[in-house]
Amino acid sequence: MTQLLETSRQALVLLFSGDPALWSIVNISFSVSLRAVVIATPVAFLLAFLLAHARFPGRRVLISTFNTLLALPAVVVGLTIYMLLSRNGPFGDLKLLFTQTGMVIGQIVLCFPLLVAFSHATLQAADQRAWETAVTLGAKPWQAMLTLMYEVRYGLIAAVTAAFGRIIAEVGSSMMIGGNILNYTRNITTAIALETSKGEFAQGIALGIILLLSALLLNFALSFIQARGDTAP
Amino acid sequence: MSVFLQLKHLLKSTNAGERLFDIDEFSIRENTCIVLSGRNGAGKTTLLKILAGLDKPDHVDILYDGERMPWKLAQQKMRLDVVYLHQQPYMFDRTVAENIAYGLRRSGLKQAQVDEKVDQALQWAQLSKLAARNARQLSGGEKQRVALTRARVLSPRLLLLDEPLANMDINAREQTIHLIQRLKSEGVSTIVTSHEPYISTLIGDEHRHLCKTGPCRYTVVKPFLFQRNMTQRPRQSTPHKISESREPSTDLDHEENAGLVNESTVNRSDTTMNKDSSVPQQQITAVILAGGLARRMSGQDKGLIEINGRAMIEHIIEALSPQVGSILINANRNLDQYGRYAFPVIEDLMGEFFGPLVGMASGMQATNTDYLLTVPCDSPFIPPVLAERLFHELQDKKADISVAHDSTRMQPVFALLRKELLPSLMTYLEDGGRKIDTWYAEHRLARTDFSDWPDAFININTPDDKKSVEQKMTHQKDVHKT
Repeated sequence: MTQLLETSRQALVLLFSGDPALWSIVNISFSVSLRAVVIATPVAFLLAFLLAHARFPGRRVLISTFNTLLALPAVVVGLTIYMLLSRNGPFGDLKLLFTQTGMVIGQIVLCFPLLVAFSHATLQAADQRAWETAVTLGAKPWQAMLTLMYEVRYGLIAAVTAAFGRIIAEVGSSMMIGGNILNYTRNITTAIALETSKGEFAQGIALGIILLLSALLLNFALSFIQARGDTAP
Repeated sequence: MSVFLQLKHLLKSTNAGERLFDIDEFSIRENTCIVLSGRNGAGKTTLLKILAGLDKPDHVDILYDGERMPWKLAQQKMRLDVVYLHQQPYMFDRTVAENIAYGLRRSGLKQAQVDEKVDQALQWAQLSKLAARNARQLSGGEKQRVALTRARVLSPRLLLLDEPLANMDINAREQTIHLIQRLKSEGVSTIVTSHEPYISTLIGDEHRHLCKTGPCRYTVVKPFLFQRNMTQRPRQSTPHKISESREPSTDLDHEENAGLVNESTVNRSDTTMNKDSSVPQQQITAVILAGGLARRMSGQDKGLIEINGRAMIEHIIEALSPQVGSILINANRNLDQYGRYAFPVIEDLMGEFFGPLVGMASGMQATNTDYLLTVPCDSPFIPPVLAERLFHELQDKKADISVAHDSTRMQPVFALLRKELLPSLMTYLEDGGRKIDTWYAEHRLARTDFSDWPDAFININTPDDKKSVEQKMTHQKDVHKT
């Protein structure tokens, strides 16, 4: 018990003393996950829009596929991309294994189905009149699409928030693709795993607190945004 | 005023593959307000959406400013020239000013020009006070005004208003009607769909009715063009066979094809027009009320029951033709069969079998003659002096409605009504009134005596009635022949 209190005290010291090693890890985590979301979001929105408003063969199958992929385990994504990027794999020449770019790719794969599924549901439920009104007022189809997305912005922001929440907290794919290299690919989750296995709990707890706080903050923001969207008539 | 948009052979099916409408021709002239009526499900909204380029027809030939063009190209032009307003206008989740600026921002104008136009438009529609409010928080009438203004700033050539007066209080209605009238005065063509016919008298230049003329066939009828001469009858939807070879038949018992009114009958009636010049025959439209359910005749459509080999309605048409300027048939079932008589068939403009008053209102709305003569479809012995006598009594008593009266009681469906009564009738109907007598009582009524025509009000309610009427008719004819 005294040990737990002692490590917690050390963790708080680490947090508030501005320990550079700790904040570098946090920085890597957020930078990688943000890049993944920023790249995945526009493509996912476009695809979701097409799934919601265009009629083409295979549409139903695609929708079901993305809904199924919500359950994709991070470790499996990590394993698959590891094999693709490893020296003997088909993309070995790109030398992306154990890089941040590799981690970004892994996280994109993880959050893409979630983004598509959530934003598709939102766009599907959008008022059909919004699109028609935009078009009849002279908007080009792509302009009308942006208008429609703006009209359902709360739902779309919620999708992005949920996607970010998923990948900032995942450990499997970051560990396998990134390799947990200090100051390069070591992020919050892989660092916690490492420190814990070394028995050095202080840094683990400090990072855990940050992760927990960000997760809570994100979820709070998410429910706040959704509530906002609900009250808008 | 020239036609700027003409659609021919317009076909459209529902998603389920059922034919929604099949319109031979629909043209829109510049600077014209068309009021489009039709039942729920007749395809009014779909037609408007096609005209706005928002929905795709199965087939159409388009002439745009006289130029034939493929659908894709026409669709692009329509999206620029035509603005469609939903029945419940959609407000973007932004301020009122931003809503009005929406189309302008996408038309390539500079920011300053957009702002100026929006300011002017806000003033035009008296919305300046609401400019900074979120448009979603407005009342229904305010939303309608924003939607109209948002469309107007784009200077469209054609504005399509889908039920603009639905679900509005009196105040909002008046404001909306006022705005539509102003748009009209600015040279914008409009098409307004409405269940409320008096809107056509307020703003309409033309009235068209989307009418089901068969199980899967809809055709646009233009009732305003129907008055005038009987010989210039409108083209009908089904091929009209007038058998030249047929004798001007007096042998009424042997008609194989009971469907058609013999052309010669009508011509003859034209030449034997009523000589009494004081009756403005051309200003009288007769409506044959055949819209009932005929419960006592086990649902058989009364107007189509054969009396001595000819449908009842043919006997009635024959009796009415010499008396009036034009004839309409009010029916809700068997429209195809009624359509064969080459007179416009008007469906009830509201409700489901609400009774004769709705039929009268539908008739009034569909014509612009001064007077409306109503007769039921199940009284085959219409007196040849019906219109004349009702009219004189109307004049003498300075009444609004002249009703036939046998020696004992009033016969309310045999009546001559002034067209101006339409708004009153519509209000009465909308308030839920259905009873003829109650509505009549609100107006100056002239009772016209027809006690010297005892057969006039015989009607057929049971199969037995039918037999006795047939005998009587044969008897009369025999008397006539001798």
